[in-house]
Amino acid sequence: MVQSVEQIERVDRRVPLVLGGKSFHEVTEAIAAPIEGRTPKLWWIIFSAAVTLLGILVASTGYLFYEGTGIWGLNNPAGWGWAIVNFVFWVGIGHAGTLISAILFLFRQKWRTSINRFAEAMTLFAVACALLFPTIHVGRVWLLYYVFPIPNQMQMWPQFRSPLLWDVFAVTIYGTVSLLFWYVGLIPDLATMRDRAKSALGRMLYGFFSLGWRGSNRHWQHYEVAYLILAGLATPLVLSVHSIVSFDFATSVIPGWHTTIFPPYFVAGAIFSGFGMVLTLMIIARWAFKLEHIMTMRHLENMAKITLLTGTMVGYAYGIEFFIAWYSGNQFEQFTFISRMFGPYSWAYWTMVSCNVFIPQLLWFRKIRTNVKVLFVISIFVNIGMWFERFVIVATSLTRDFLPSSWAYYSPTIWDVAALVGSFGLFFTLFLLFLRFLPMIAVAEIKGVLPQANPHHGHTPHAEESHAGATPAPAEAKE
Amino acid sequence: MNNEKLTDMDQSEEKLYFRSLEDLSRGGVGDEALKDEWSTGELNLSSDQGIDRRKFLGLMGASMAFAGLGVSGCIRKPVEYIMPYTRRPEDLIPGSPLYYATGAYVGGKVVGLLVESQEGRPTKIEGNPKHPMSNPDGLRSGASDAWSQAEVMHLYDPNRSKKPKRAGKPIGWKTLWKELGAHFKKLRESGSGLALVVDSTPSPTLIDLLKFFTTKFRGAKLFRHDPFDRENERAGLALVGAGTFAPLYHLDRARVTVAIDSDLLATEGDTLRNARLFAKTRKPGERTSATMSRLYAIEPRYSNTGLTADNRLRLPASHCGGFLKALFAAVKGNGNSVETWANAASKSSGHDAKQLTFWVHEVAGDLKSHRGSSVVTVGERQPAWVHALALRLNDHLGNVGDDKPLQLVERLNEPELGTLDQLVLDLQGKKFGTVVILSGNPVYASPADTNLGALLKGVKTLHLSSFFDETSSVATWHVPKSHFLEGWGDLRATDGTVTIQQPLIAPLYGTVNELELLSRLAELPETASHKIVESTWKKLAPGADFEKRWQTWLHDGLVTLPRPTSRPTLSYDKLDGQLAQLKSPSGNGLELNFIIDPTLGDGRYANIAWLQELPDPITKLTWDNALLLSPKTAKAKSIKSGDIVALGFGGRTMKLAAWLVPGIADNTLVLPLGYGRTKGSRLFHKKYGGGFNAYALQTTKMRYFGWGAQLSRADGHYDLASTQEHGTLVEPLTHRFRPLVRDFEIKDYKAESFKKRWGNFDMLPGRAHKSLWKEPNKRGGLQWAMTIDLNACIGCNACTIACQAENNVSVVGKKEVMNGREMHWIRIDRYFTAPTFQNNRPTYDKQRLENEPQIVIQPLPCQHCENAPCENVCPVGATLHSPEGLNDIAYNRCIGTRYCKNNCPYKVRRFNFYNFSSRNDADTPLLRLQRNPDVTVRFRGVVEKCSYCVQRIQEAKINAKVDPRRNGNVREGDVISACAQACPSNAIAFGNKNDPTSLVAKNRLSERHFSLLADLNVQPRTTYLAKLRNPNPKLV
Repeated sequence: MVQSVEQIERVDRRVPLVLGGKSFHEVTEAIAAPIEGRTPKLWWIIFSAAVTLLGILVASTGYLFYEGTGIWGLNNPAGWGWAIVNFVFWVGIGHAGTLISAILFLFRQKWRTSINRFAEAMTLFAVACALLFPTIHVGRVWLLYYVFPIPNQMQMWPQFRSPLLWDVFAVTIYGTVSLLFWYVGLIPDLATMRDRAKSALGRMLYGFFSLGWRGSNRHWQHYEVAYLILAGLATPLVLSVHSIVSFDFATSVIPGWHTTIFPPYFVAGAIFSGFGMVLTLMIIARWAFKLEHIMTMRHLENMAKITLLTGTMVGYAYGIEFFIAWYSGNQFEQFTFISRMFGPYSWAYWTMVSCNVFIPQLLWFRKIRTNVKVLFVISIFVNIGMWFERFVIVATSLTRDFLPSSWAYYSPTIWDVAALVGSFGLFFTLFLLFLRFLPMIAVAEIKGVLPQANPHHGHTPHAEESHAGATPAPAEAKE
Repeated sequence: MNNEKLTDMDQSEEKLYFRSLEDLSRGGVGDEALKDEWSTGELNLSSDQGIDRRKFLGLMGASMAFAGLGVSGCIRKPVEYIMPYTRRPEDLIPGSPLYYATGAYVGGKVVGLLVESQEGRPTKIEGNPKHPMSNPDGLRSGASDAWSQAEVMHLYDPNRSKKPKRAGKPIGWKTLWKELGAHFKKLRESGSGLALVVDSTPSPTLIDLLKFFTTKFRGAKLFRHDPFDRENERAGLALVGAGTFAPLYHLDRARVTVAIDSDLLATEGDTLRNARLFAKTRKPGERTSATMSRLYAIEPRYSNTGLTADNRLRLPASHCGGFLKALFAAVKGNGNSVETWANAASKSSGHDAKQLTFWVHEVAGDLKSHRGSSVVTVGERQPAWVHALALRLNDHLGNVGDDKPLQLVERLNEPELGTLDQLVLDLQGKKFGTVVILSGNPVYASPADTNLGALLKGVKTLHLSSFFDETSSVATWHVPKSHFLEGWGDLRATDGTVTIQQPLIAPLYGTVNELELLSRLAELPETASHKIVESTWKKLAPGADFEKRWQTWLHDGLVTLPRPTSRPTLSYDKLDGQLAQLKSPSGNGLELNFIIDPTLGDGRYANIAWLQELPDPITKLTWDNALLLSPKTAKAKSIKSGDIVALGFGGRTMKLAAWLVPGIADNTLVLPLGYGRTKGSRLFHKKYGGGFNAYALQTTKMRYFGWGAQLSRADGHYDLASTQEHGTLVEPLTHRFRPLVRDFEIKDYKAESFKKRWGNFDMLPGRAHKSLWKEPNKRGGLQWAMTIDLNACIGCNACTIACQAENNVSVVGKKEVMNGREMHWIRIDRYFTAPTFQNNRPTYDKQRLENEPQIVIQPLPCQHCENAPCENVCPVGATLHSPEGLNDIAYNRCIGTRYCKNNCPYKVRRFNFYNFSSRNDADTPLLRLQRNPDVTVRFRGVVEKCSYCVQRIQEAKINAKVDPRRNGNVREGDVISACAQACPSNAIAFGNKNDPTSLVAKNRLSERHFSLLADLNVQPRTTYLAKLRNPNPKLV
């Protein structure tokens, strides 16, 4: 359906990205409030819960190192289980942040500014969780350094043909670039925090990490260039990381893994799951910190649209896998997919399909997209569904491959559960610390998208007004 | 106080006393030693805490030093120093093993063995290639079975009894001999009241000694107890006048073999010999002129013989005798009695009477057209008359004779031995005051209604046993018994071959064997088993050159003396009399069968963890037995695998787990013996499973089978650890028929259309795989490969245990098997199938699959793919290809990502989920001595798998390099993998595929040759030869 010219939203008449007609100062105050104010009770409650979960992670990992991988439910056919599922799950979640910051930045999607910091932080913490799992899942964790190309007297070198090694590089590079990108973006805000800090420690730490930022024109110029370059570097990584993670499966010979669709399918899935997670966190944060005017309904709706898009792409991938299994004529492949639907793991398969394909279809409706509560529930379903997607891929293919003699059923133990639950502990601990100590919204950037930051048009009230901070939303918007 | 401090440090419960600093450094001396100040080394050596490394090495050093003098079982000097090899014994090069020939009575048969000794430690048992029972057709290696392979674990069992006991309390050896001396002196003087129980070990010396014993103790009665004993067979032969003879099968001479409830290939009789000779008849030769023998099996359960058979009739055991009777009638042309039988049998067997009649006639026809080249064998489970009738039928067909498939060979001239039933009667009649049990564990392994335990408690019992087991715990005296690797003996195999059993190690715990105990009880001047055995043979083979001949005998493991040549005269009058009185079996309820378990035997191997964890060939159960029944029988009672059922039989009831096995006769229950042991091993703890004691339902009258079993479902579920849950290759389990095992009838194999049929087993028929790049691996020089002839394989498991012993493979325990983490490097896949072909496409017959399935067996070691998917996924390069085509693992490099394991299409890689090897060390400390020093013991967190016995390859290469005449050339036969070496049916061939003379190279050219999952283009080096069946075309 072609929209008439009247229906298209005029660029100069867009609803502003930040509502409430706040001045620059008010924005700074609003964002700095969670950091500078007294620690809310709710934060402590959630934080202590998160730390408890983290404790579970530490304890279960300690026991794992002490006793061996046998404490998990792995068996002879299923060499991989929840650990790898969790790894792929977290890496997937880690995609949204960089996508929002880098790709949307390059595409000049200004609405991203109010969520990018937040999403990037989520990315970093998700990548940290992701890196945890391949590290602890190996049988001899104390020899993990064998996977790094460290020159050594043993004359040993990693094996570059292994997708697991590609993973090592892909994920560490992604983590490093994401960290840099996030940190560079933080510098002006850190300087703001430094300037506002009242405690000596705060001044020192914020001062150290703001790298002597004074907000000079030159600083801004360098900053913008660096940010742009990093965005350029990060963009291909968004696509490459999950492609490479998918190679772990796609380059193998196992039916159900050995599929060429995996790279794009995994990337779509990753974005899907990442947006799901960002939605979940955003909805909580905007409510808890009363930032509804910055993270607006429009943001939520945009996120929901991308979720719907990627969810449908994932659904398409599920369908095409079946088609190819049939079309290939490979009976082992065919069996794997029949077994997914009707075999011992069909419960997991149908959970996955319901959460990832059926439920997101609700997002076609604007009413649902703009209903925060429903959106929150859907985002939770997406998180669950995407975890199950990885579980279905790992468990069904491994446990029922070529020779029926070695088939088995894989089921997790309490320690598998502890590792997953514990990784959420790690994630939320880091995330809560971030909310408490760093500006969760890019202060400098958000000011750039405030109406008063856009002084070009004749109609627009001038900058001095906005400095005064009294101007309500621009007049044109109300026309 | 200084003393007290040191005492505290001692872990044992006994107080620490020491007389000198030397004592202190040895950990003190026990109470008894203090009381008996003249006590010498024995006591120090046989401490109850087991033998630690120091003591063991000391002992070993000493025994090696005395090796040249001839190891004497009873004179051992106290050893306090490690004997350095600076003055090493002759012939001993540290690091290179020595092999000694010996023999053993294992699983009811005599096997000739060759035992590897690493610096004095027996580490590996192999078949003696010179022994005709292990290697009747003169191949490279002597066959062995899982039981004899596992005997080495028995030697090092930590639960072996170390001290004599009186009423369960440890006593010193001196006290024991004093007490026994006094007791038996009284008996000798009073001249009666003594019973002696032995097993069926056919030992000339033992029998001499028993004869002497009965002269010394007038009125002493001899009894035999041995669940492996062939009492029915002997009685059957006696019925036709051949009581002193035993059947020796020459299956290579038989074109048609009919096995009636007889597992002659795996658990009954001379299985190694039978399997070897049978396999000879299963080499089809050129395709167009292929021929093969035919094996019929008529049996209630699925045995290894049954799964090898071309035609198999599942029939309750009680009808098997009737089948033979009908068969005999059919051969003689009496069709009426066939029908009479078929009508009677059809009621309870679930078969159609017409079908049974047809079967009998077809088998009879086949036998008639193979007069002189066929044989009918009967299993020990069948009553005597069936054995007699089988002999009569064989005789009628002209199959009996020295050059015929069935040869009757004179048995060892035994004194009269009473049966268990007679012993029980005598005990009930209080005829004895003393019972001496020289072998076995009769209290456990006897029918419940004998109540032997209570009876033995009422008398003075002396039990000689390696373990303080069920019998020992009711015995007055328990005397620890030596392992066969610790003492001298002699054994006579069925064909008359005698082997001198020579020890490889001095008794670890100062124990005695039967010969030594008997000679002590009889107060013979000589109590060392070496001298006893030697003197027997000095008598039998006198002459000046005895010493030289003796040494040759020891060296070869064979005694070269003329064999008995007398032949029996058969008469059938008595048999006819018995047959006339036979009543046809009345079948109400269900038939319960007791079978010798293929892994634990009669229970004597229950203490061996390797065998506990060895999957049953058919059920694939480990650590437990279960009540086996057919799906149809189970359905009628709505029983599923793993359900707990209540089984009533002969007035007793028992709750036990059920397990469904297709192919078992309907209305028939099968319960393997050997499980449910309670005393004598740590393995009998509940956490290991342990199974259910079948003897508790056995009755004297119904030893092997009987009708009237009552079965009902009870509440609950029992966790059974099966290594292979999924048993078929077809729907509904798999989407389509999986072309994994190629299995044809010989007529189709010979047919013109075979190529097409063969091609339909390829997933991408007719397409050659092309490589995108230059082949990365070298293909010249030595290129190792293995072929496994599925046509010869009988699924006996010998290879699995041989591999476990050779490669230090860990035992993981029931819990971990349940978790699916068993470690076997070569597993045996078992599939139920019912292949048919439509337009030459393999398909299956669903009806047959449920009711009359066939079994295919596929041993699966690492396939050593040339294009190995495991290699390129390892991030640290821990698994790589060797230039000789081996897929190697560098254990030190492995970090345990398990990616290789995932990417292995054959799932042969095993992961050390826990520190299994150190768990094994903790569980079985002495088993460390068994470890092969040439194979790395794997630590937790690394992946392991079949290495093609790379240590043997390297050894052969070194030997070839060292030998100047060889110029470094490794020839066919220099390297043989442990599995191939053990294989009784010679199904596994290993060698250099680039050597055109090698068996492997020849097999690879066979038209039956195929690769498993060839379509993945992984190019496996382990390949298979298709299974062929030669069924009677009319019975398919």
